[in-house]
Amino acid sequence: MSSVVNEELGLKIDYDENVINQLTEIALKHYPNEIGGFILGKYAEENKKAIIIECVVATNYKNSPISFKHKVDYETKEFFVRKFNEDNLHYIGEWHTHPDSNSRYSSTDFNALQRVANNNTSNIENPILLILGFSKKGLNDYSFYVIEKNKISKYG
Amino acid sequence: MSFKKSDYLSSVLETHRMTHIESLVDKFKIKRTEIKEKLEQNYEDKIYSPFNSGSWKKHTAINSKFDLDIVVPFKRNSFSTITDMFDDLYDFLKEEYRGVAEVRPQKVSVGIRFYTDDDGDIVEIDVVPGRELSKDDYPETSRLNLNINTYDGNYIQTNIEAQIENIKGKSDARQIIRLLKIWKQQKSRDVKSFFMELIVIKAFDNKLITGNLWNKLKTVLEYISDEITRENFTLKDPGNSNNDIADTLGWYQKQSLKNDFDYILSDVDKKDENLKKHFKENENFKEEEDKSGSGGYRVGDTSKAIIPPSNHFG
Repeated sequence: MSSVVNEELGLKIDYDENVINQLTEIALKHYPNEIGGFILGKYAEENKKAIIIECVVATNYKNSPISFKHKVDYETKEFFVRKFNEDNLHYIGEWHTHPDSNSRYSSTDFNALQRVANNNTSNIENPILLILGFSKKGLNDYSFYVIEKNKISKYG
Repeated sequence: MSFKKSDYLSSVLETHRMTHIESLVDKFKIKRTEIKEKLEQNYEDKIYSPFNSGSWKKHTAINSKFDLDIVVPFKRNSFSTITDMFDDLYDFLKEEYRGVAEVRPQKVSVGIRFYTDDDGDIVEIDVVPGRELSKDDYPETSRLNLNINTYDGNYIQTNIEAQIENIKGKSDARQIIRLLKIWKQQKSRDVKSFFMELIVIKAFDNKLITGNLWNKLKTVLEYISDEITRENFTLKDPGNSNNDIADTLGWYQKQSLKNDFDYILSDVDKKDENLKKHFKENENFKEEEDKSGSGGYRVGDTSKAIIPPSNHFG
């Protein structure tokens, strides 16, 4: 299990490197387009640590080399309910790829995280964002971000 | 610190979540799989695939009282009468689990209550047999005739899959259903869970129910209190609109439920903390809940799934 820490906010993320490998494989399958989805996990240590258990690909989406849009439809909502009730897993954030680029967040990404944090029904104020920058040859880098009071900050 | 009704209700729900008893649930699931396999081996082509139903399937289960349900769809020609079907299933399960479980006929199901295991746990599974209405009809319509054990040997036609479908996607209603199931279990009220489920969904269909968890519960209680004793009040079974589930409660039971809910509303109106008298946290899991203190990642109501909005990344 690997860890990254956001010193400024005192927040930590635990994750398995295999998750990154799996997402890289998914990224390459969708090359040259972006792809993404949801991060599921648990909170621990008085909510100071988020543990990533799995990352899933959104089922209802539109993508291009510079954009990834997902729709949280009826099936997706039921998926979150099932994961919560049966496996005790929460939605804790989002992931997506940047083909032929790096893992720096864009202004669109910033707006997207704000949308989650400010959404009354999503019920989560500090969603995590994982971005994987990659090329046809493989992974370039990946970064974890979190939003806190309309400001994005990076882990590690 | 002031008492927050919604935070308290969230804690009631949280301490009643099934995930607190995962190892016990695993035992239930193992038994459920075993029973399904035995049924398929015994009945072979007399049945379609048994499927899961009940509160677990509907995500309205609470950890203080639950069982798992299996529905067994029998083919039309498997038995000449629905009573024969029910009796054969009962005889089979009774023989199969002789010495390891108590098997008893219930209103629409055969209940299997396994004897206490080494951990002191008791596994309970209900098996609901149903027969398709006419030959080859079930794969098309999912309709079944269920046996009802009454003196006049009645049966009821319904569609259990439609009943499960009816509650899908209604996560706000599910929270209130779970609260009312907790209430009825703590107060030993004799109201069918299916009745609670339908009346809450009807409240959500007919009223604008918004705000925090307490606001939602309050609006539902008010709706039930206003409507339940009306002469023309009905609760249609989503599996068959000819079945009126409101009829499963007599006039006296409906009036009692109205009185109960009126009392909760007036009592909480007097003092917020009176809510604790009516909905109790599950003490067995309260300590665990208290550990998740403030600070760190901020998540609002942890008693239900977090549903993010549709989104756009670049």
